[in-house]
Amino acid sequence: MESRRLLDPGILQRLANLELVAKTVVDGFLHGEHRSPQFGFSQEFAEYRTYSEGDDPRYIDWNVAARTDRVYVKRFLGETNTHLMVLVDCSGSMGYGSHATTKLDYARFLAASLAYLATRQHDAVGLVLFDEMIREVRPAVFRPRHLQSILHVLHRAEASTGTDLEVPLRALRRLIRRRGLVAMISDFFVDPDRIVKSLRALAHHGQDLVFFHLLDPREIAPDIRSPALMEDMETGEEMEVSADYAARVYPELMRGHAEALRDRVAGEGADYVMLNTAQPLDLGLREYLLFRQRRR
Amino acid sequence: MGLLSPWFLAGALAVGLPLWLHLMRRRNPVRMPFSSLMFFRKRTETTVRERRLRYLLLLALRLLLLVLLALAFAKPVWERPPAAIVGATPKLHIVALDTSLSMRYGDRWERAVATADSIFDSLGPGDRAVLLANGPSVRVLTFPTSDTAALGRALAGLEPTYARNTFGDVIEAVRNLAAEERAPVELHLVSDFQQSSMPVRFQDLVLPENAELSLHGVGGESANWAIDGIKGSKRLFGQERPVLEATVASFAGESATKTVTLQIDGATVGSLQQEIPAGGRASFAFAIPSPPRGFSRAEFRLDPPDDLPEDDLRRTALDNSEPAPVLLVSQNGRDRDALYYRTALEAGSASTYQFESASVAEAARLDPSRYALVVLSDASQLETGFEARLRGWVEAGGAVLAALGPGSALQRRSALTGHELRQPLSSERGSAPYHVAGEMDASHPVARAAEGFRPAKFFLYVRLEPREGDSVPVRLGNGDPLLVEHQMGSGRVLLFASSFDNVWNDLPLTAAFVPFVDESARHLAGESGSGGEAVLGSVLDLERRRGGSSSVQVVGPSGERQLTLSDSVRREAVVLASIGFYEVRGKGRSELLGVNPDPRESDLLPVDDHMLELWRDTGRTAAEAGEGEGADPPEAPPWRIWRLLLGLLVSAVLLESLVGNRHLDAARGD
Repeated sequence: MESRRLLDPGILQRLANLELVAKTVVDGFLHGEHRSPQFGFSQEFAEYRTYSEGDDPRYIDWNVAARTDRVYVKRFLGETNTHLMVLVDCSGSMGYGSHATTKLDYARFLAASLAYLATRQHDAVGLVLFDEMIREVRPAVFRPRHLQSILHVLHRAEASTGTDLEVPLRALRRLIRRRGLVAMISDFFVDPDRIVKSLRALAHHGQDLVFFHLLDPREIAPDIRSPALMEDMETGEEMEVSADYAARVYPELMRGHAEALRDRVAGEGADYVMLNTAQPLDLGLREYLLFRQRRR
Repeated sequence: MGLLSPWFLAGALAVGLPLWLHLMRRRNPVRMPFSSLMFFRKRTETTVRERRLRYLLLLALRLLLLVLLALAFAKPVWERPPAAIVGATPKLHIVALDTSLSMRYGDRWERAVATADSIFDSLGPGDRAVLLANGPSVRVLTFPTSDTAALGRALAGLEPTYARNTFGDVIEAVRNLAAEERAPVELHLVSDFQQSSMPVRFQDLVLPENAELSLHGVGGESANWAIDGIKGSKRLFGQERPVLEATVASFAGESATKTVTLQIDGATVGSLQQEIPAGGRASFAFAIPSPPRGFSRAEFRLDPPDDLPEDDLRRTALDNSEPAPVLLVSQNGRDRDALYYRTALEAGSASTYQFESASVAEAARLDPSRYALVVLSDASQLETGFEARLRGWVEAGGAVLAALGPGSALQRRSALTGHELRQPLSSERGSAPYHVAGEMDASHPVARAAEGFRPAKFFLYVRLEPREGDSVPVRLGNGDPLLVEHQMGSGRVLLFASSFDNVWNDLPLTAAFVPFVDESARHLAGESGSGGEAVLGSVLDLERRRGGSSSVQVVGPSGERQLTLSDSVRREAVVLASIGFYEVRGKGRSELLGVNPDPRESDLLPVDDHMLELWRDTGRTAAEAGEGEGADPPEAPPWRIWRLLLGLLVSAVLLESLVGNRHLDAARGD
C-alpha cells in the first residue's frame, strides 16, 4: 500500500523533478506488481534486423557489417515493438483541475512514466505536444539522453488554446514511419466521430493506439450548488449554468460522450482508458503494459 | 410639487451600493472557469435567464427601497392648485355689512343684520368668518373665527352710520385678507347696492382669484327726498336783504308736495311748500332776517319726513360778524400798489376783509393789533415806534405780508424781519428779459394759489437770503426765492421778493393775482372760507384756522372737545366725523360749521343687475383665465406625499424580505 501511495498524484505534485516523478511512479508500480525490473526485457538474441534510422547504434553488429558491408542491428527476445510515441494534449481545457493536480500535470506524470518505463525496456520513445497544432516533437529514438530531452519538453508544457486532434494525428502520419505504439493523452473534448475519422488513417498505417482519457472528478460530476457563470478555458465563452442542470443533465451527457468515444475507438481497434486525475497513475501504467503485451 | 428637505435627496446616491453588491455577487461567487462548455445546452441558458429575472426583481426592490427612503426624508409635498381647493376645503367667509347712511332707509338695516346672521348660521365645519363694516371706510370687527356667538355679538353692536361708503374699499380690504389666507375666501356683501357707492373704475371691484362673491341685496323700495344744497352767501354782514335758497331733490318715481322749514338758532324763520316733480328738483327761497352779530345756526328741514329722515335736515352756519380789517402800508399810501391790492382783496369770493391803506407816516399813529393782517408794500423805512409795535404784535401772533420793491432794495435789508437783500436783479443780458416762477411747494396753500404765477413776468426782484427755519413756497425759474415765509415768535411774515405796483412785474395784471392775494390773506389771517358747511367725513384744516394763534380748539356737535391740549397746538387737521354743528375756537373768536351727510347717499338708485353679474364673475373669471390681478391666490395646504412614501417604504421592505428569502431558499436547495 505504501508503494501505491507514492503513485498518488497529490504526492507526485510535490516532486519538482519530472524524472524523479517518473522513476518513483514506475519503480513503485513495478514493486507493487512484484515484477522484475527487467520485466519485458530479454538479453537472449533473437535475430538481426536491417538498421533503420532511430535505432540505437550500440546494437549494431559491427562484425556482420564488416563481413557483409551491410548494417544490422541485433534484436532480443523481449523486444517486439520498440517504438512508443506519446501524444500529450496541451490545450486549454487540460489546464483545468479541481484539486492540486491539473489534467495537464497528470498527463505530464503519465507521459513521463510511460517514457521512463519504455526506456527501461529499451523501447524508442517519442513525444508530441499538441493543441490545435503541433507544439513540440521529439522523434521516437532510443538513446541514453533522449529520456531527459523528453522530460524537459514535458516539463515546459503549458496549457494553451483549443483542441484539434485532426492536426496532430495528420502530422503523426508523417512523423511515424515504423509500426509502433501510439499513446494519446487527452481530455477528448472533441466529437468522437472526428476522432475516429482521424485515427482511422493511423490504424491503417499499422499503428496500435491507446487513448488515455483524462477527466477531472468535477468534470465527471460537477459540484455546482448555485447558478454559476461557466467560462470555457479554451474559447473564453461564458455560459450561465443552473445547479439543477449541472447535477442532472451534465453527468449524463459526459457519460454518454465517454461511452461513445470508447465504443467508437474500440470499433477502430484501439484501446481506451478513462483516468480520473484524482486516482493514482498505476491504472494507466498497468493498462499500458497490458496493451503492450497484447500487441506483441 | 416641492421638497421640504431637498438635501436629503443626496441619500439616493446610496442606490449604488446594492447595484455594486449585486454585480459583485453575480461575478465573484458564480464565475467558474471550466474545461469545456461542450456539454452545456441552450436550455441551460433559459433557466439562468429566469433566475436572473428574479434577481433583477430583488435588485429593483432594493433600489426602490433606498430611493423611497431618500425621498421620504426629503419630504416631498404636492402644492395643490387653488382651483382644486375651492369648495373642497373650509372657507373663510368675509361678511361685509354696508353701514352707510342709506342703510338707515326703512328696514334695510334689520334685513341686513338678519342676512348676516343667517350667513353665520350656515357656516360649514371648519369654516371661519370675519365681519367687516363698510362705511365710512372699512372696519374689521372680528378676527377670522368659527365662533358664531362672537360673530353675533359683534354684529349686534353694529349700527349704520351717517357716512358714505364705496365698494372699492371693501374689495381692497378683501384683497388684503385673502393675500394672507390659505383657505378659499367667499365675500358676502350685504348692502343696498347704491349706484353712488360704485368706484369710478370697475377695476377696483375685481376680486382676488381665490375669492367668490356672494351678493346679498337688501334694497328694494327707494323713494327718497333730500335737501341737497343751500345756495346764497352765508356771509350776511353788509347785505340788506339776504336770501338763502334750499334745493330739494327727488329720488322717487312720483311727484310729492313737500314743506321746507328754516330755523335759525332754533327759531323758525318760515316754511315754504311746493310740489317736487318725480326725479326733479325744487328750490325754496327764504329771506333771512338780520341775525345777531357773529355766527348763527341755520337748519333747513324737509317735511313730511320720508324713510331716510337723516337727509331731510340740512345745517349751515351764517356769518354776520364784522369783516376783519387789513392795513396796507406804502410809502405814500396812495400808490398803484394799494389800488391793485385792494381791488384783488375785495374781489375774493369769500372776502371777509375790510381794506385800509396808510402811508408810512400815517401808520406811525396806528395800532397793528386792530388788524387781521398788515401788508407792507415796499415800506422800507417804517417809523420806529410803529415798527416796534408791529414786531411785538407779530411775535404775539400777528401776520404781515411784505412786498419788497425798490425802496427795500436801497436799504439792503427788509423792514421788520431784517433779511439781507441784494441789489435789484434783472435777467442777464442775452437771455430772456424777464423771469418766471419756477419751483413751488404744493403743500403750501399760498403756493397752490400761486400756481397761476406761471404767466407772470418778473423783470426785477431783490435777492432774498432765507434764514434757517424759513420756508420758500415759490422760487423763480433761476432758483432765487420769490416767496419766503418767516416765523417770528407766534406770528408769521410772508416776504414777496418783488412789488405790487406793476413796475417790477406784471403780476397784478394776471389772473393769478386775485387768488394769490385772497389766499395769502386768509392764510396769514387764519380765515377758513368754508362757506358755513361741510360734508361728513371731510377734513377740517386746523393749521389755517390756527393762523398766528398758538392754539385752536374744535368742539363737536354734542359739545365735546375734539382736541387735547397738545393737539390744539400741533395737530394740523381733524376729521368731521359727526353730523351737526362744529365750533372752531381760535384767535379770540369762534367759527361755526354745519356738517351734513354726503348728498350722494340720498340717491338710492341701485346698481344695474348686469353690472352686479359682471362684478360677481370677476373672481371666478380671473381664476379660470389664470390672469388674476391684485392679491395673490391663496396657497392650499400641500399634500404631504412623504407620508405615502413611508407606507410604500414599509411595503417595499416586506417585499424585499420575501423575495430575498425566496432566493435564499432557492440557493440552499441547489
